Amino acid sequence: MTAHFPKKETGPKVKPAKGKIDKNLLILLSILILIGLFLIGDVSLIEAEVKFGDRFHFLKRQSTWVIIGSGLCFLTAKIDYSVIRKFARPFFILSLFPLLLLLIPGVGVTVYGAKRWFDLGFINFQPVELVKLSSIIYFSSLAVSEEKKTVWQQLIILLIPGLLVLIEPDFGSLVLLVSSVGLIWFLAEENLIQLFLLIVSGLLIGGLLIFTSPYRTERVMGLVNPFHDPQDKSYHVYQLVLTLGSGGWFGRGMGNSRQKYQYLPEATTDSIVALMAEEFGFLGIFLFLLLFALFVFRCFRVARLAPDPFCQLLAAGITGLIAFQSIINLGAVAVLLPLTGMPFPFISYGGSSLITLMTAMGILFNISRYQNKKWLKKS
Amino acid sequence: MKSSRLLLLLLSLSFCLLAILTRFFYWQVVAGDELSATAQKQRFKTVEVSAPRGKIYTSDNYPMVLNQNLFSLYLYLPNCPSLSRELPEKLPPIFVSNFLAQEASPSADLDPEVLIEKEKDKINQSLASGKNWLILKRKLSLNSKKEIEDLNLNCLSFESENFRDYPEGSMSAQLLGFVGFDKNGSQKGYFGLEGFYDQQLSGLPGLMVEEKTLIGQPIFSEKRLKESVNSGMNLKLYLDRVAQFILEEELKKGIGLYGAVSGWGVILDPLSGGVLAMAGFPNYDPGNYNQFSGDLFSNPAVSEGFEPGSIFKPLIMAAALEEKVLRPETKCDRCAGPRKIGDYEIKTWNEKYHPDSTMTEVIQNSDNIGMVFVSEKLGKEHLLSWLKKFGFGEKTGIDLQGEAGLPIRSDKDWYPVDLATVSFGQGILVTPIQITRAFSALANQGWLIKPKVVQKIWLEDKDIFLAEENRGERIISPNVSEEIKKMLINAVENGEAKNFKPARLVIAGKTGTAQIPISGHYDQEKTIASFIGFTPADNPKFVMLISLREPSSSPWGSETAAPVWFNIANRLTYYWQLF
Repeated sequence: MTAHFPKKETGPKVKPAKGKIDKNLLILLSILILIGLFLIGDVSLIEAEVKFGDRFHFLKRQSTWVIIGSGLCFLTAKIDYSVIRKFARPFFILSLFPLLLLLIPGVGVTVYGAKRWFDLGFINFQPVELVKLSSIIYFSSLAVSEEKKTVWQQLIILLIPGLLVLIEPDFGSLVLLVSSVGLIWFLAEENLIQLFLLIVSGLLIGGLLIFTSPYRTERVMGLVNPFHDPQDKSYHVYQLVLTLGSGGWFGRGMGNSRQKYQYLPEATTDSIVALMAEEFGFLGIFLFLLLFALFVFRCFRVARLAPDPFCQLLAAGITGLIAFQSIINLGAVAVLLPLTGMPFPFISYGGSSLITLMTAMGILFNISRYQNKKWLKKS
Repeated sequence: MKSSRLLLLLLSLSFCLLAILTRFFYWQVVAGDELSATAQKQRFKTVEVSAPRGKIYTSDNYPMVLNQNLFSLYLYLPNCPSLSRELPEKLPPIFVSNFLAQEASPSADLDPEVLIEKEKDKINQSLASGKNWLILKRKLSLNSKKEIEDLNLNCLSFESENFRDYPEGSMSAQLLGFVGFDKNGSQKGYFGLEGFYDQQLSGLPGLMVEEKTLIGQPIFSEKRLKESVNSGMNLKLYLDRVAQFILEEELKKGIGLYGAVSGWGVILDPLSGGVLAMAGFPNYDPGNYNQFSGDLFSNPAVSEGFEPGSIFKPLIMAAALEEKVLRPETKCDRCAGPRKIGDYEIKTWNEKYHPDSTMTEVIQNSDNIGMVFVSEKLGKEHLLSWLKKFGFGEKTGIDLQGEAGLPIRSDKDWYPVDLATVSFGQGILVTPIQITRAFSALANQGWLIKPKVVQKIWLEDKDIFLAEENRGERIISPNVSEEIKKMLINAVENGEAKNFKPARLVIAGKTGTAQIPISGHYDQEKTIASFIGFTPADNPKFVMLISLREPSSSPWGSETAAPVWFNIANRLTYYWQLF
């Protein structure tokens, strides 16, 4: 990591020759997706049987989304990143419309008091997923544009999707959106003092949001003591802890989870990593997280070797999105962070997240074609 | 993009990952054992394993009551609100065909369409009850269970349960009783033997520790038995299957033939006190008891009080002979006409009077005036003490639930007219089992036996209880019992029922026609017609009482109950080869 990064737009304007995509990254991604399919098939049998009378209901749907996601991934891997940069602004603006639609009463699906979905029949479409991607592209392009906006100006732009997400409400997605864009600002060499001020005020607003909402407060209190109301308010956290504890060093063995028998809520989505920990133990989780870290680092490698600053920021932003999302999920499973309903990337059941992330990975693969080998040689 | 900032980012991410891994390590390894134990506790649930209920056999080892494995259908509603439309459509036809297949003799007036509508209403009511766990149906056969499973509906679960099986249908239903459900939904015996021996028959349930899902369905893994099942004990009765069959068939026929409202019959072994047969009509089907009126559940043979009428006379006569206040050849000197006692005038049944008739003739003619003479000879003190000696006023202690005790009035409440009428069996309430037991003392040389139904209680080749051979207290001397027996043989040979008697049999017996008191007055039309007796007279095999309530073809015991008695006795003596 001692490579010298060229200054903004001052390096050679010539685009490196188009090469092959990063095969190792592709292999890592494929392994992750296969692990996800395997786990969903494993832990969803009971829930699928009880709710839908088809043991493979969840597995079939997730497989369908993997196929759709692969198609989109393949497509974005073909589109030149300069095209993406050109359409960054209209894509960003367009992506806000579905989010606006959710404000209309009667439109969208309300779950647990939050309205985050459209039911499109074959899939529950979550507009915020699209906004996350479009924001990363747009703010990456803003950071390198000629008529560069200040952080404060950019912050005002970020407030638009930010507030819309907060209204749903979807606190987890808000944190993810802000931190991913914040990451772009951080890597785009914005003033550290300004960024520090931003982080402090962000934390203050976040804390205010938590303690003005009873259900968020409830969830934070659940972290402090998972055992304070195990039958009701801290039920999910309590069951998460029991699930992890049931795993021990080596786990109960493949398919032998007991907590999946309806004890642990959100078994296929938010809690799926906990069930992995129950079946494969601490060692299993350790190996899995090592693999996932390897994947994230490989993504950052694509960012570092990207041919120009826009690509660098875009790739880093996408990687940051994946990394932060996994940390928010893992934090909740390990009872370090409050539950926000955040799926684990590529593993949890759910079409919106999977398809969006695979589309984003396509962009990353596209960028990996233009690796600046020269810098590699230097280092 | 500064590499130093990227490095800082990677370091922070690594730190987060490390923190998460540490936390995982804490929950999984450090606190793992304790949490794992807690998790196990919430999954492993102790469930009761019901003990198979004891079986009931006749003395000739035919099964009267067995068990059959049937299924109860449960619904866990919260998982499937959408089913509330499907269930009332799809389940009722299966329920109804299941019911009709189980019905021993489906009556023609059961319209399947009507039954289906009823089942539909029941399901809708259960669904609207607001409960999460619903029992939709009990007693489903294996076939019906399969049919329901083939519907591929979710959220339904089956639990197998043992239910009673009656190979002989409704035979001796009132003696057996039935198995219903108590408040908690567990099986419990009611009435008859099932009620009396409920504790012995039901055994003790075992406890099984079973791993279950959150909603209580079993996860198919190991089960651990915590406490083993103690099966219910089996009963062997004194009841003879053939005798019971003959009694029921003839009694039912008699009720129809003579147009009676109801009837009962008791056949006792006068030596052991064992109940050889016992029946009452109308009765019910214990396998489908809930389809019948609750009035039919109690056994009239042990729980119905009736005024016995003339069948009571031999008992009073025996008392007088025993007290030596008269002899069989003693002549009645006040039998020339009706007797007035207080405001009441006592007449004979046919208003024919027999001056100077002997005691043997008093019994033969069923002479009320003669019996008043006996009562007067005996005196109040002796008379009342003999009522108690014969066991009236208290339960016989027969091992059947629902026996009536029927206390008799305290001594000071007996007026002269009561002492007169009780001598011919009016003004006193007795149960069929009480009078049959008392009459047995005339048949067995004077022993007051205790009537009993169960001969033996056993479990897996091990006898747990054997009925005592105790004959009870001797209340009548052999001499007197011989004298009274002769009077009873004479009464059958020369009495009102002589024309019906099978010639080849020697029967000691007595007819009786009791008027039924209705709100303080005797109804002239309504009677209970009875015959009580035993045969063969010299070595009685059985004592039998047959009563018909309100026979419409003739009110007289001699023309209704007596022929039924003779028919049964005729068949029984062939069956037991008593010649």
